[in-house]
Amino acid sequence: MSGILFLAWRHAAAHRARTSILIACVALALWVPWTAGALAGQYDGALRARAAGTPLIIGAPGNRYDLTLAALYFRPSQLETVPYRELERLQEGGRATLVPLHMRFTARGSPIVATSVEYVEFRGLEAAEGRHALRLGEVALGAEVARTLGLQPGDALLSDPTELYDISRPPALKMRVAGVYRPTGTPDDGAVFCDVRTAWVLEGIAHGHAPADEIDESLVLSRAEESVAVSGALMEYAEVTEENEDTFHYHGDTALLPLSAMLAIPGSRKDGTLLKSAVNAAGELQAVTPTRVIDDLLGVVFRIKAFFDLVGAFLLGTTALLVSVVFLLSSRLRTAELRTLDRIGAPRRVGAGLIGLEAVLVLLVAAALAGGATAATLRWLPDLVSTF
Amino acid sequence: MSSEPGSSLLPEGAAGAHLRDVSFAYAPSAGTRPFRLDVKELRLQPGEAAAVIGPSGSGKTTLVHLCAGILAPERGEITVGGVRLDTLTDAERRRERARQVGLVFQEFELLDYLSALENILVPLRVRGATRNELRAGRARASELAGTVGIADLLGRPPAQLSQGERQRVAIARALVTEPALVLCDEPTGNLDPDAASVAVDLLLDEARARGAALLMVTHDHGLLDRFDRVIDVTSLAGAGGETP
Repeated sequence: MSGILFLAWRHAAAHRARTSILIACVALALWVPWTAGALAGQYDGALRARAAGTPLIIGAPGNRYDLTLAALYFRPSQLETVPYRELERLQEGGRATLVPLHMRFTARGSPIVATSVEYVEFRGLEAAEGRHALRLGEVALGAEVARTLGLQPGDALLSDPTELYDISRPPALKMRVAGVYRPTGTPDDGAVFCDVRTAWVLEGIAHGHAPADEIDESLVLSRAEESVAVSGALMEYAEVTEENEDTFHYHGDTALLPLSAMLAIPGSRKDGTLLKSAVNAAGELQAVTPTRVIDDLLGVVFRIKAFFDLVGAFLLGTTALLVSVVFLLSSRLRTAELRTLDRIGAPRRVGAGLIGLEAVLVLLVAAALAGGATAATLRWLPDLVSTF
Repeated sequence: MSSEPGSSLLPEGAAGAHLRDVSFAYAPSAGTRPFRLDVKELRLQPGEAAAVIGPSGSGKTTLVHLCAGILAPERGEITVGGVRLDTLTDAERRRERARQVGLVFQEFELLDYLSALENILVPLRVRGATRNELRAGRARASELAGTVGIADLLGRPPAQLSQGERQRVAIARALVTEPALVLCDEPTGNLDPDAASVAVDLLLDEARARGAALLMVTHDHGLLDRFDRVIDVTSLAGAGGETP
């Protein structure tokens, strides 16, 4: 066998172009379904792990998929907002710790996730540099954001403007980077975290400007005992600093400040069940169990994957047939060589052995290449999974 | 002499080749005339060289194939290197052929994807030689290459060799296993007269030096006086077919 293997190897090596093309074809035909399968597996694992680590999501009534994907993966969506007082009300019920989430804005393309320190503890986020974003106008960066943008504690990050044509509002808020989190391999790596109060500044609900008694009189429209009406030309602060932090204030009822969703961390399974049923029975909000939503979603996704598996199998089958044709034609071209080996005293099935071993060599090299390419693809495309 | 399966017709310990009462016929097929080759007796002693002559279609190549064990006789005894080929299975005959028989073909039949050295070692490769056997084979191949004048060409593929050089590689390939019998089927048919003369001399010298019996089919009557014997294949059915 070793002699025949040697001859098969030498034949394959001597016909480099043909062998390379065959290897490339087979590798490609293997890489496509392998990569698709591995990515689907990673998706499946990552989606289920994130969902399994989140007991309950509460938000405004509407599409439960949007609510779940926004709360778990920070996917942009047009969620109806939930007033902050709902969080306080549920918190008072004592069945769960409620974590606020506000996710309407972005900073240089990355989602700004406004939340509280309970989120950081719940997800187990640890600062690799600096600290959590505790003060107004501060942000803590997910590892991938910090790496991609090249930011570190002390740097500044501008929010992306959303109201380009509203010149009465600052185009962006300049936020200070307080810390950078360790990589987690989850969507948290791709997010910019801040306190919910910072999100309300981004909303324009809270703002800071010069104290009323220091405002240029030309900008004062009227003064009453408890309020001052000023012109829209009054410039609001576009950055929160130690000097101006105290000037930031809310207008209107703070109980109505908007949230995108809430994570509920119940004290027990029973508390979770009771909280969920109470919320859904009231009808003003909806509470969803992420694992169930993701299971439903993956059911659809994997029906589509089954179709791609079929396409992959067809591709592989077609390639196998074409490779067979190449080897069949090759065996005809090698008739004289095989006759010589036969006459010299090679075993009866030397032809089948030579061509079969060459095919196995091609398959092994192609499989190794496809495996390497699949691993490289999974390595170079982590964002597909972690950011969904 | 023994007629036991696998035993030799030659005296014990003798190599060479011996055919006795051999009869062979190709299976009849449409469009071809029936052919039969009968050999009453043909004995080749170790180191003896015999030329086989005869008109086209008279059975020269068939005789070579019978001696090599490529064809199995209907009846009769064929002994090569002390082993009865006619009693062996096809797989056993193949093993014996790779071990005991060296073959030189008219078209040389070198493998184009191997170097000259690798071509010389093919008989060892196909019989599944061990690492030690291959090492010894390489040493013999180098020695043979020096003898036949291709020592500095061993790394070249056949496409980079002249006809004469290819023939020398083929000769070295036939001898590398130190066979008991060297069979040559018109090995000079593709060579010019000078190269043919050199090739035959090389074959005869090397086969004799190694104690191998040599049977060569040839149409070149100018070469016949170099052989110990000349055999007319059309006369083999009689008493040996030897020409005067």
